[in-house]
Formats: sequence, structure tokens, C-alpha cells
Amino acid sequence: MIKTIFDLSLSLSKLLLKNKLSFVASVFVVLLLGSFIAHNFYTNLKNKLLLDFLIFGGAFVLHISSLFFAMTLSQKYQEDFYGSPYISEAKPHEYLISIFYALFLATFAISCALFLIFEIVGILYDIKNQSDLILQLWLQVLSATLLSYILFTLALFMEQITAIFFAILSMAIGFGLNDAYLYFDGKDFELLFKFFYYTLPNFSFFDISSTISNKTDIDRIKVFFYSLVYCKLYSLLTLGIALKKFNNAPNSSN
Amino acid sequence: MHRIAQINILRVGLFLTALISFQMIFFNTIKKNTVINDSFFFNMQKGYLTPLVTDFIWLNLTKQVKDDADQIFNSTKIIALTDPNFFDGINYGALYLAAVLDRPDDALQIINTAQSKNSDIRLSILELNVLIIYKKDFIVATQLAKKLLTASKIKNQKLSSDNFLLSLLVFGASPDKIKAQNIQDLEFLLKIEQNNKRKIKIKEKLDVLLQNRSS
Repeated sequence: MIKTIFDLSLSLSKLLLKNKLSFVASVFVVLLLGSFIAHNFYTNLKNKLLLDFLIFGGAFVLHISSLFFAMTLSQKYQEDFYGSPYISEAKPHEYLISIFYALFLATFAISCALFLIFEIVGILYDIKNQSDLILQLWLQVLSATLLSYILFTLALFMEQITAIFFAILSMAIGFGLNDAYLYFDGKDFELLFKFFYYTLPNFSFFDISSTISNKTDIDRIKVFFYSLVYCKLYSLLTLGIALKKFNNAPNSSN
Repeated sequence: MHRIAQINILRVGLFLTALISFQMIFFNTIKKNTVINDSFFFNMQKGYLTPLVTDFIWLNLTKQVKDDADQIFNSTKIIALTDPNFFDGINYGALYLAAVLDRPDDALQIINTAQSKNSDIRLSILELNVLIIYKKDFIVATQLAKKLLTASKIKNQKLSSDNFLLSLLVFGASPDKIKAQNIQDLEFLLKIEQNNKRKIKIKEKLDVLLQNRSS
């Protein structure tokens, strides 16, 4: 079972990486990077602008590409469900798990390319907290995969375009949760809010960008493991929901 | 299949442009001098974009042609709300308001909004600075300094020697030291400032202080 899942996910992720979009997005980011390096000389921010741009550029590429990956795979799933060559080999739930694994692999492959860019720019421009920058990149991979899982599971229940709308809305709410936590602290709806804080997709767990760009201290090990565990738990939840929907759907083997 | 994919990509593109235009409306509100009291919906929009946006607000602030006091206050308040870790921006805005424009209450308001999210010790030292030198409210300042010294032991945030001297100012409150700190603040502002009109303003203030010192 594990071997079939692994082979399937590898072939699916290769299919995703052949997409032109990832190439176009990376070229776009490199062009913008050049303009920011040029702009960097005229400011009194001491490479802060460049650092912030690296964080945002990485997040932009990873999230947009993961959204498109989830969209293409869900489209493929809806079209290939009846009598696909993959499903004849693998069982439906294996196919679903391999889709989830392929989404992670494809975003991780893009993050490897970003890692190289970050290293080169960091060495050239003497950015001192590079390890934090790479931690942020890893967290962005987690948040991008989580976003793609949410999009994929939502697309099983509704149309793709509405699923994208709700996925982006969930991301916006997830970034606002950290502020809302401070806002509701010690007020009437505190307990209700704490429930939402842990159950809604909380993307603010993965965001340490402002502490990096201002070079304040962070507990790296705590941040790493908390976000990893949160991402794992939430992806298992989405996988469970998707599996239930998958099993209720008409069987492909017939 | 390809046609459906193309239509979907078009739809997503339209949706993204709608989202970006929505954000542009948010940016325009900054230019129209509106004060945003809650960062709640403002931060939701940005996510990873937060530090970049605050950078651009700050760059606009230091290069502004107009010298409008309300505008400086609003944009520094937005910086304090959205990215409270961005100490340089808050420091610049608060010091400019207090030292050059003689509005220490507004400066304290900005520092307090940043403190609601960030418990950095540099912010409380800046608050002390504004309280002693520009507002001259020594009762509140002594209370704050006592709080700081106890809190620094709990949080293991060590007060460095320079900062400790500043906190000693609370108890001493000698006019010479106050003047020296005032000059130091103005020199710091001069180093950062890129707008010529404001540079002249800061220099006038500095000259007055330096003449009094020599005489």
C-alpha cells in the first residue's frame, strides 16, 4: 500500500511541476527582486526592505502555486474518477492520500529553489539572521500545503471557484486571529473566541515575518514544533473529511 | 479539458484583481488622513505582506513633501498598529512629534498602541524619554521606572548601561542631562530625515539648544 501511494504521489507531483505557472511565478519574483535590490540603495532601512521582500516573495510564490496545484489535482480527480488508469491500480483512498502527499512534495520542491535564491542573496548582501529566514520559509511551506488541503477538501463539496473564494477567506481570517486574540482577551466572548482560535485554520501560527525583519528574539524550536504539530493535526482533519466524502462517492472500480 | 482550465484561470485572475483592487482602496485611506483605530481588519488583509507595507509607509513618511502634523501622526499610528515590532519607525515618529512639533501627548498615544501588542523594553524606555524630557511629568515617569526595574528582573531582559543611565535620569532629573538627551534625539532625527523642509526645522531647534549650552 505504501509503495503504491509513494509511486503515485511522485508521478502526480512531477505532473504538477511541469506546469508553466511555477516557472512564470519564479521569473516574476526574480525580476521583482532585482528592482528591490536597486531600490535598497536609496533607503535608510539597512537591508530591511530586501529582507521583507524575500519573505513576501517566498510566501507569494508558494501560496499561489499551491493553490493552483490543488485546483489542477481536484479538476483531474473530478474528470478521472470514472475509469482512470491510476484508480485501476490503486484503491480510492490510496489515490486520495497520494494526492495529499503530492501536494506537499510539489510545494517542497519549489521551496528548495527559493532556498537557493535566499542563500545567494543572503551571502551577497550580508543578511545576518539567515537561519530565521529559512525557518520562515519552512513555515510558509507548511501554511501553503495546509491551504491547498483546505482548497482540495472544499472543492469536493462545491464548485472550484467558490472553493477558492472560501480558501482565501479562511486564510484572511487565519491571519486576523492573532490580533483578535489580543482584542478579546479578558472580554465577554473570550471562551467562545478561544474555541475559534484553535478550530479555525489559524495561519498566524506560521507567520513570524515581523519578528524576523526587526531582528527580535524568537524561540526557534518552539515555533518549529508547534507549527509542525498544528499543520499535521489540521491536515489529518481535512484528510478525514475528504476520505469520508470519497467513500460515499460512487465506486470507481465498477 | 484545456478550455475549462483556461476559463477557470481567467476567473481566478478576475477574482485576484478584485482582491488587489480592494486592497488598493485600503491603501488610499492612508493618503486621505483617516485614522484607523482597530488594526483588526487591516492586518487580516495582509499576512506576510505586513512588514513590507510598513516599510513603504515609513519611506513615504520620511520623503513626504508636505509637512502636515496630523499626517505624520496618522501614519506612525498605522505603523504602530500593524507592525509593533518595527521599533525604528515608531521611534522616529514619536520623537519627531515630541521634539520638533511639541506634541508629546500624541507621541505617548503612539507608544501605548504599540505596547498593547509588543512588550519590548525599548518602547518603555522611549516612553520614559518622552515623559521626562518633553512632557515633564515626573510623577508618572517615576512610577513607570519602578515598574520597569521590577519587570526587567522577571522577564530576564537586562537593562544595558546606557538605558540604565536613562532610567536614572528619572530620579536625578538634572536639566543638563535633559538637554543632552534632547540634543541627542534631534541629532538622531537629522541623520534619518530625508525631507529638506523638515531638516531645516530640526536644525533650527538644534541651534537654539546648542547656543544656550555655550552661553
